[in-house]
Amino acid sequence: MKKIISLLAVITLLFCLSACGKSDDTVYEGDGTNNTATVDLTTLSSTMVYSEVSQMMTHPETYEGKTIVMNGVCSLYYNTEDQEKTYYACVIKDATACCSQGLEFVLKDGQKYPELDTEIKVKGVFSSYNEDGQTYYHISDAELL
Amino acid sequence: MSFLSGFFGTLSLYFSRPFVIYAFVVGILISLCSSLLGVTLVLKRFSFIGDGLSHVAFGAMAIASVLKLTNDMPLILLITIITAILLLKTGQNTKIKGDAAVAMISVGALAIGYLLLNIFGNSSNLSGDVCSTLFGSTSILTLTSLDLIICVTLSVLMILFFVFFYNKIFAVTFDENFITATGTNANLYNLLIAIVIAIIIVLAMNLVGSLLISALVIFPALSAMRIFKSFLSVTVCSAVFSVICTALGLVISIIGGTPVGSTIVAVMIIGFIISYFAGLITGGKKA
Repeated sequence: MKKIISLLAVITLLFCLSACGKSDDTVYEGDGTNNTATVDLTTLSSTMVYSEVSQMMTHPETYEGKTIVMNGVCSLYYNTEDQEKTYYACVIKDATACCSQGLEFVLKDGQKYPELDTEIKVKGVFSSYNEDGQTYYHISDAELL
Repeated sequence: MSFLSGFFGTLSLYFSRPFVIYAFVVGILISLCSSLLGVTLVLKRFSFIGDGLSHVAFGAMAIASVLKLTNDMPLILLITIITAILLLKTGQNTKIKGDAAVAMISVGALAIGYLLLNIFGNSSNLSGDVCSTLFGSTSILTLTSLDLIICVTLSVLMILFFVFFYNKIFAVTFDENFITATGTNANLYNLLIAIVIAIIIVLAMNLVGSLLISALVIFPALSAMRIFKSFLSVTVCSAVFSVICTALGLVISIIGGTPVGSTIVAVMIIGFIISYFAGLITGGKKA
C-alpha cells in the first residue's frame, strides 16, 4: 500500500513539475477582441487583473508589443531626480484593496491627459524604453476609450 | 445554459494563464498537507499552533526584508522550525504552558515583525506588504515557477512523511506514554511533526496569509470529525474536504474577484456547517 502511495506521490510531483514547462513564454490572450496580441484586462475579475498586471511587471518580455486594454484610476508620478518630469499611470487595486499596481501610459500626440484620480480606460501598446541606463515598461501610443 | 457556457468559457480563459495553474497546483497540495497534519494537531489540542507559527513566520519575513534578502524562504523556514520545535517539544515541561506560550509567541512575533518593517523597512508600500502577508492577498496567483517547484517538492515530501510514518503519528497523537513504553522514541516523532508543521505553515502563507492559516488546519479536521470517528476515515475525509474547499474557493475568487484567502476560509466555514448537519443526520460513522 505504501509503495502504491509513494508511486502516486512521485507521479504527482512529476505531473506538477511539468506545469513549469509552460511558464513564461506562454502568450496571454484576452478575449475582448479577435486580435490575439491583445491583452484585454477589462474583461477580467479584479483578482485576475491584479495578478495579470503583476505578471507584466515580473515578466515584461512576455507582453512586449502586445496591445493592452485596461481600466483603472489615473495617477501622476514625479521623477525623483527631475521634478519637472512627470509620468501618468493607470493604477488598479487588488481584491483586498491593500495593494495596488500601476502601468505608466503615454498618450498619442495631441491627446489631453485626464483629470487625476478619475476612472479611465486606456488602450495602447506595451513597450519598453530606456531612461538613465534603466529599462522601464509602459503603454505607448495610448488612447483613452 | 448560456450562463454555464459563459462560466466555463471564463474559467478556460483564466486557466490559459500559467499562474492560475500554478495557484491551483500549489493551493491543492498545501491544503492536502495541512489537512493531514491538522487532524493530529486538533487531537493533540494544538489547534492554535498554526496561528502562532504563522505569526512567527511573519516576524521572520520582516527580518528577511530588513536584511534585504532576495530569497527569504530559508530564513523564514529556519526560524519557524526552531519555534515549532520549542513549542511542541518543550511546551509541556516549561513554566509557561502550551497555550500561553503559543499566545505569547504569536502576538510577540506579530508586533516585532511590524515594528521592524516600520523602522527599518525599505518598501514604499508598507501597508500593502503587511496586508498582503497577513491576508494572502493575491500572492498565490503571483507565484513563479521556482516557487512552484519548492512548494511541490516540499508538499510531496510532507505527504510521503505522513504515509510512511502514519502508524507512529497515530500512536504519538493518542498515547505518547504507550509509544515510549514500546521502545519508540516519541520525542523524535514529536520533533518531526513540529518540523513538518512549520514547513506547511510557511508554504500556506502564500495561499491564505498568516492570519488565516489556522483555518486550513482546523476546519477540515473538525468537519471530518462531525461525520467520521476513526482516525483513518477522519484523515481521509479531512483531506478530501480541504482539497474541495480550496479548489472551490480559488475558483470563486478568480471568477468573482474576491480575496483568495478569505474566500477559501468562507467556503470552509460553509463546509463545516454542512458537515455538522450531516453528522447530526448520520450520527457519526465509526469507520
